[in-house]
Amino acid sequence: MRRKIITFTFLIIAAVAISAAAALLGPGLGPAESARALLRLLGGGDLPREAHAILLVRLTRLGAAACVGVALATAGTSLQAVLRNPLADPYILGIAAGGGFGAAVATAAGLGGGVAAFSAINLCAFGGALCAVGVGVVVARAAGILSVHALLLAGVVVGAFFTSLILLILAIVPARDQHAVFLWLMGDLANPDITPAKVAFAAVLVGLCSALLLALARPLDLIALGEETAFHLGLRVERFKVLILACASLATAAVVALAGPIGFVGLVVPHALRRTIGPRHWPLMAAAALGGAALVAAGDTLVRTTADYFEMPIVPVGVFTALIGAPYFLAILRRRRY
Amino acid sequence: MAAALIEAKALSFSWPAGPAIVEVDLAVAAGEMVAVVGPNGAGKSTLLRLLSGYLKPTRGEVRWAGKRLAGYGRRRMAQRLSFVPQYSEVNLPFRVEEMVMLGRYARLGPFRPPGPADRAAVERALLYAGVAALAARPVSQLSGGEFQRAVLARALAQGAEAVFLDEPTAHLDLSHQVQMLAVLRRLNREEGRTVVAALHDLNLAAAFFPRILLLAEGRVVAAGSPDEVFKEGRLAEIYGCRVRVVSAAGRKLIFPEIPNGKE
Repeated sequence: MRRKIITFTFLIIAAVAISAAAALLGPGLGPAESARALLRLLGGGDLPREAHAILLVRLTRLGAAACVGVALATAGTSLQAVLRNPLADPYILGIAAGGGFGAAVATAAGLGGGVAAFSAINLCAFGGALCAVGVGVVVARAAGILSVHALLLAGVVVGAFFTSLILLILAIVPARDQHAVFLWLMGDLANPDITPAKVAFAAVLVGLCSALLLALARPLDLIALGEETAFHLGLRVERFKVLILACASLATAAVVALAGPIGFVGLVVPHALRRTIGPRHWPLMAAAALGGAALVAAGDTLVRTTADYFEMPIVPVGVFTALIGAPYFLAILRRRRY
Repeated sequence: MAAALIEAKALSFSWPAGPAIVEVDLAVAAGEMVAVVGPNGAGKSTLLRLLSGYLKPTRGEVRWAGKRLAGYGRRRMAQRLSFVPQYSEVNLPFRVEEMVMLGRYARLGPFRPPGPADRAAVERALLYAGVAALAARPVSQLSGGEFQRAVLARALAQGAEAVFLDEPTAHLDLSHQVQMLAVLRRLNREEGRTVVAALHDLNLAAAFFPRILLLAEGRVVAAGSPDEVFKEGRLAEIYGCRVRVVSAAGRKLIFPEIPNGKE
């Protein structure tokens, strides 16, 4: 119990501190001026146009980071339970590769336009991501039963297939498009294509899906005990698996379409928090949402401010999270208690 | 006999590889204690899974308290029946009391927080199954016998009138086998709960279960008291080896004859 309270306190403080840093730090507007401007904005006052624009960019980015973190961490937590596999992360069903393929096609074909606030790249990435999961589900479903083993295998193969298609596209498009596709594949929040309207839309979708995953924490505990056990304890297992897959996939596809595949968050955050919070999904899912948001926002703020400070090109936050996530994950694995 | 709690009529089930249960008729009254025995592959586990609704019969039907199984919602069914599966492996470190509380799902549903009645049921189940001292331990650190009893506690916390167990004594040493079955007998006698267990060990079946159901190749070949079912000739034919049935120490003992290698 005490460990839980300490962990939650830490996560809340970290989330607040990181949000403040994300809003206050950066070029063009110093921390003190930013704070004054932010307070005026919150008080309903007017701001000079330049300050307003700078704050809007920072807050949009913070919102995007939070969406990405919440979606990946809650999707990862729930998939680890349903697939009963500690290696599961939001991309294990091929979502990242499917989304990447969609984005690469849109880029290579030079698709302009889009629908409402969304560019062709957003829409193709979202569609490609869901398409990848859909193929896996169709392959793994037989006689009304979705086999999670078949789903995992299908997901890995579908991912490999779409990755090959991405490489094929990269091999035949001009260098300028290659660079755009590469940047997208790294997972990046610096993309000027991330507008407040898109972030708001992603926030709604991610909010709904992640809230549902949080609400389904107890059935997730059941299914973590095994499908047959969960059935006998009173869970409609087949319906439940589809519901969880749908929530996790929609949330993940939304943030992949927004910012590209940002790596390791969905794998590392649940594992790290399970060590202190324990395996029960109600506290774990809540902590994962907080921790995921804090981690991505911290990473993004860090890469953004260091790039400004050292006047060097920005490291995509997806590369950064994978660079710190992988060694951290290995360290957890080395000291695991279960 | 009063209206049966569990009733199967012309129950049949086939895997893609072939039939597993063939035209089984049976009735279990409320408060009975029944052992399902038979050789490997006779269909013991399949029969339990059909009766519980986990598998859907190819033909025939199962009724609980006169009502077709399909008419029960999942949680309603879990309030009637708890099931201790044969292989249950938990790879997350839930504490024993947390896992046992999950047995209350049928009553609580996904959202309602546990109340005093649920906590009392969990505490009683922990005591009954003899794992109260392990309540705070992670299940991933339990020995095989402790884990099996923790799973039994979860099934008891469910508060169902019937308990099914698939090989509850597999992986248990002698004393734990006896303890496990003694708990089941207490449950049956003191609380009137219906107990149906698939067992390999004919001696334990004979010692603890008043009613035996002998399966072979998916059919019920004999049913009745241990004395009626366990006949040397019949067992020899079904198990394909010579079997001795003797009375000793006030019990019926069944064991295979072992070729001495000097023939």
